[in-house]
Amino acid sequence: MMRDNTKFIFFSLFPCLIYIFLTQAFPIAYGIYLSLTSWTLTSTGTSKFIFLNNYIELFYDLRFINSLRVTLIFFIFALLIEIAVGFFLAIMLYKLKKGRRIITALLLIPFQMTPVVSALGWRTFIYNPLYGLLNLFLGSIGLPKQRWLSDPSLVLPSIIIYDTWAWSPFIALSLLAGLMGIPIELFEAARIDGASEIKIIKLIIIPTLKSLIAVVALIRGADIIKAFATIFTMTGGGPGYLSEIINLYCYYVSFIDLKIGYGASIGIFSFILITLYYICILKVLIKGE
Amino acid sequence: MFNLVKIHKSKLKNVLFHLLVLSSVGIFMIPFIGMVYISLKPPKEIFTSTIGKLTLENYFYVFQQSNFGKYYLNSLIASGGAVLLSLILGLPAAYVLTRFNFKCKGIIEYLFLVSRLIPALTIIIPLFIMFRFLNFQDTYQGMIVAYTQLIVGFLIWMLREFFRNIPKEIEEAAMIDGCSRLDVFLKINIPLASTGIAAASILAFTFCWNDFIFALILTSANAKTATVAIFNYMQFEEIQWGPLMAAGICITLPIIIFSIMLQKYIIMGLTWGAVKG
Repeated sequence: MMRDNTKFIFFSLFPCLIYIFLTQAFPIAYGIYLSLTSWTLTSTGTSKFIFLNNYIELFYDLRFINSLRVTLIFFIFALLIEIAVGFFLAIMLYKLKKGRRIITALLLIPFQMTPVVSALGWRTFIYNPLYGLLNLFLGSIGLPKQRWLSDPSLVLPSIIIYDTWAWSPFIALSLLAGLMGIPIELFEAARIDGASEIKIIKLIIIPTLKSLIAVVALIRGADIIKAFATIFTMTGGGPGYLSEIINLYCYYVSFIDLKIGYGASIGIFSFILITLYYICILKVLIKGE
Repeated sequence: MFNLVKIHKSKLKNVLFHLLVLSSVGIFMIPFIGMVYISLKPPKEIFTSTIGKLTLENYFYVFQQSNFGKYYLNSLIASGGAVLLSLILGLPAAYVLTRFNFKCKGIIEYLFLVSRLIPALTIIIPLFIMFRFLNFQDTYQGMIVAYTQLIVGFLIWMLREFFRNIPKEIEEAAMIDGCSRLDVFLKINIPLASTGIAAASILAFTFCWNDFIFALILTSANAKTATVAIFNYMQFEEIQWGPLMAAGICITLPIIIFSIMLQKYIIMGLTWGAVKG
């Protein structure tokens, strides 16, 4: 009986583990190796083992430093605004007695939509300088039209607004699930004691949802660092390099300039970045419990 | 007028609250509704703001005059193939990880979780070189291999949740009746978890279907998927608005319909089971 199980366990797990090894573990190891070489894919390109030189070069590469800065700005503002808007939406949905099912179903659309499609939609339908909805609106109330995605001071806010539109409903629905888990008696007791709405939020809702907010921040934060398709679609990193996040830069280096070795070092760097962020949040989670 | 004054204050508050809900949901719906609207406008009236007659012309153009249908099919093959392969690999693994305790179990579970953290480009650069070597570039096999890698960890993580809900007693009874472990897995667990398996598979399918970056780098013509091909309608700042939006709606509408059908699994899926919706 026991031996039978061992065999069953082995044959159930083995194919899957081999697959993960071949398509994830090995490529990452190979990626680390590539990041230590000077390989370019051009016809004259040679590959030399140069140890950590690529990583050292990163710190002198102004375009890389810029991409880190852009990623950081995008990360901080998008994450904070999405959590704030999501929290507000969640409380609103919680108070809604009728039609919650329909509204939550509709709120799935922004984040379940294909990202490339929604980004194309925003680029052409909302942000287009000539025919976009935002400029039509500004025009109709007599304000000057803006070039949302090509004005250096507006490009990042515009991308952050798009991201908030797409992902704050996700945060709202996650937090709503948490809110539904809080016993109703707790709110009633607080109201009988004369606690104001703000006090209820501060003393009951935020403390109970703390670890849930951390989980959501973990997931969203990692996805923001991993962002690529939407910014590629909306601006391609422009104007100049003003919206070039780290992954976009990695893409240009690896597949446009064909500097595979140097590109791999950026890829490994962003993996390390995400892992560090993950560890930080896990520490917060463990501390909170 | 007199009645209006009489309306109870809380009732007014209620009306205002519902207005607030409707307007905020409305704001979230505008981009999608706008895209549908533009896709239905006749090509010549795209830039007029009058609401004229609506037509399916752009949709016919997309599928008849341009070869978008081919790329659409490519998306279907790559995503569907990846889901099938992931189920073959993932179902037994997920079952074993829920039913048995053994050495290294924790490590193996975390291994599948870590795959969520890997940025696409970190894996694509070495995969690109490996695919060149294996002649997998721009092929269906290549895309299926890459997408399976993307979803297999997710699928296992989700399937565990569903297998866990199946009572052990049913299995034990069947085994006393002479069923083997394999029979129990195939004839009891898979049918009983079928709703969950379907939900997790569809979610995994949307991850592949919505992907852009793998297809952008690993395909060029033959196996190019719809999310990359849609850029054909937008070259050198000359945008074909109608077809662009029509193609976009064709890509995204099935996903939206699936999502609404699977409403209660979506949040659970996107948080890998951390939040039970």
